Amino acid sequence: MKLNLGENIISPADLRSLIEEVEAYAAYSRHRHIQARAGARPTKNTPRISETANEFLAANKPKDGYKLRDLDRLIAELEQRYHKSPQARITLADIASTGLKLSISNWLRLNVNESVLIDFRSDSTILGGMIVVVGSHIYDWSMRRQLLETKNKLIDLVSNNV
Amino acid sequence: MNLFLQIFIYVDVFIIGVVFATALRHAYAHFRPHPEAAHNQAKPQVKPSLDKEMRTELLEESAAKYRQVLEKEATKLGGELEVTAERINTTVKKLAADVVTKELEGFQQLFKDYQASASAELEGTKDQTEAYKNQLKAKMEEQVEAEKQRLIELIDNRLSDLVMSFLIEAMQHEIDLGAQADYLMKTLEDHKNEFKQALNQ
Repeated sequence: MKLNLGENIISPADLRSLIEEVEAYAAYSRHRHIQARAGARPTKNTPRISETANEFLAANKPKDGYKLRDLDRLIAELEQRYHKSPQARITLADIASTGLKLSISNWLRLNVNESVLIDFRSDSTILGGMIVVVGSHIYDWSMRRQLLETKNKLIDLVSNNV
Repeated sequence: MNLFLQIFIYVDVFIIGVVFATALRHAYAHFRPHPEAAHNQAKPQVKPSLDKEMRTELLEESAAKYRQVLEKEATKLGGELEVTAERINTTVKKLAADVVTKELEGFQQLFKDYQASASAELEGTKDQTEAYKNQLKAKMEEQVEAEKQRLIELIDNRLSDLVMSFLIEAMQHEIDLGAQADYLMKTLEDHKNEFKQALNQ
């Protein structure tokens, strides 16, 4: 079965957080299973997991429900995805809204690579546009870069208008 | 025989011989005198025949003549000395004038030569100075021009940095990512292939 991460898992940090929540849920399930087999009363409360994790678990739920080995397999796949997925770091001029993050992430997963993880950062000095770092490649498509490239034109413009 | 007696006899014989020889010599001189000695003995002694007054007069006269001759010769010698001195003086003056003139001419010629040489050297130095001056002027103009260009470039760079700093400072407070969303998506679209290539490596 193909792993469906969901559109809300965008960055490696999101994926790490999801893995930790799934691990907590697996630990709880294991504990409950042992207690059930021993006939003991449940002593541990259901762990509080995020809506994203809930959606993920729901989206990847087997037809006959989760068994312990299903959760272990899921965690292993998530770990593999975390380590194997291509990652990109995108720096924007301001903190990106969730909508913008989703737009960029969905576009990349649809057009470039479906399992890409994106780490969004902000730097106001780039003024606009973006700087993308993929592996050892750096793509500077920022407004600051464009301004610096046209610096001489800018000076001429300023000089002519003074 | 006694030795003393023998010596006494020998001395006596010697004395007797000497006495005999002396006596013989005197006898010969007495009987045969020397011709010169005989002449000297024969020459009569001349006695002055002039009396005292006469001799005094002659002496005074001789002294007067001698004095006269001396004065005359002295006067003549004085005149000749004056003439000679004058001639020597004239000759010396002429010689001195000649020497001085010749030396002066030599000095003048030497001075002219030195003057010509100095003038030529001065001319050469002047040309060299002029050439160096022109070279220095050209070099300085070149350096000034280079410095001017450097300053202009520096001002341009600083000005552009200033403008850039101003723009960055002014714009970074007015960033609206919402307004940039379309631009960002368009950028992604424009660089889709580069993304694919980088992510799928």
